[in-house]
Amino acid sequence: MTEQSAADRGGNRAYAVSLARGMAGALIFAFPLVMTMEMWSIGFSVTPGRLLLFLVLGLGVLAGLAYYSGFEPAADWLDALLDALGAFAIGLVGSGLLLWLFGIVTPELGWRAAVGMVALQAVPAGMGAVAARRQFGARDGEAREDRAGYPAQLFLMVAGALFLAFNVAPTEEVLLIALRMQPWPLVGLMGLSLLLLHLLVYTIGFAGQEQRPEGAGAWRTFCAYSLAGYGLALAVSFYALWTFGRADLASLPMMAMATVVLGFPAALGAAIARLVV
Amino acid sequence: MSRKPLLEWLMAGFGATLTLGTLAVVASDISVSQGDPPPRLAIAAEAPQPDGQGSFLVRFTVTNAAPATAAQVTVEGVLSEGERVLETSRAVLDYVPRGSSARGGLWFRQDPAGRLTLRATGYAEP
Repeated sequence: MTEQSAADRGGNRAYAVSLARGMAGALIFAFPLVMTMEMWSIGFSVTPGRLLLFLVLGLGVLAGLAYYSGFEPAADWLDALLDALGAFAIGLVGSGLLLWLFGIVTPELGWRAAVGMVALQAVPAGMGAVAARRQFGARDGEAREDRAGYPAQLFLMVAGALFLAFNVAPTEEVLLIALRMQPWPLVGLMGLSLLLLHLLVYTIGFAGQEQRPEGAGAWRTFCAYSLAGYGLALAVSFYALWTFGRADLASLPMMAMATVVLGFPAALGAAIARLVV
Repeated sequence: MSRKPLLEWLMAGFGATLTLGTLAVVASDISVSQGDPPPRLAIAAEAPQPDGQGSFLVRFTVTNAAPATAAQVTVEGVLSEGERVLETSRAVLDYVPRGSSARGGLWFRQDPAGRLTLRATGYAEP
């Protein structure tokens, strides 16, 4: 009986420590976006349907991250979902607290607008919560991601691309850069993104991928990881622009250019996903 | 150990509540903002205050009741006597978010008490 409650206390304490880690990670990941002016106005002018879709997808990404790299070794998908809900709540509380301290969420702001503003920040903050619980709480043994198969690696690339792309996507600068770029430099940027992605996949090593997959040639690795990863990065970039309403009135060529520009950080995010998230 | 600590269950419940609440609010927003509604602005002016430098300050609050955000809201105050316009002042508010309010002020050289009309003359869609 006493042993049992002592064990409970120990478990509670360990969980409280990991919560604090999660909060720290949420704040570290969220502050660049919380301190970005465009994110405030996007929070109250985003189309509600797109925001809802983003939140649901974001929860899915959080659950996936918790499953593959969660700090509390997730036993199964239910566990991962609970972790994701916890991380999302930490993200809400953390970014809400910062926005309130900064005087951006004020009583004059209607509560619906405030909810939109905080919820938009909660997904990247939640990714920070999941990542920090893993990074700070280094534990022995290999994380599940080291044993992950090809689909899981694609998922990690999407998560990494989403995170880095979202740090830039709300800003005016993406469209401005796209407007300034000439066609040839744009093609060059695509090449550079792809090259960096390919190099980083090798030098940093992707989830136990320091060497090429057995029996796979360089060409196949390039197609399966680098090219696939860049495609995902472009898709994530377009999705981010669409969510933020940056795509709405632009022409198709303009949209494609903005997607390529945003695809640069997204490709980097996909390449270093294992370090970031 | 298969038993989860109590705190973890509490946090999971807390997280589920916050998450579902947020999703519910955002989902209810979808039907509210159907059909691309325009902003609906109401301006409430306070009594003019002499600012101690020979001018009068009229502070106002713009409230946006619609589920659509207005950016660059231009508020114009016209001080007139009968048909004759004595003075016009303008202020631009960066944002009046949906269901929210924003504050500003207009200066006039003469005491505008009783002769002032305030109205919003335009906005930009964010």
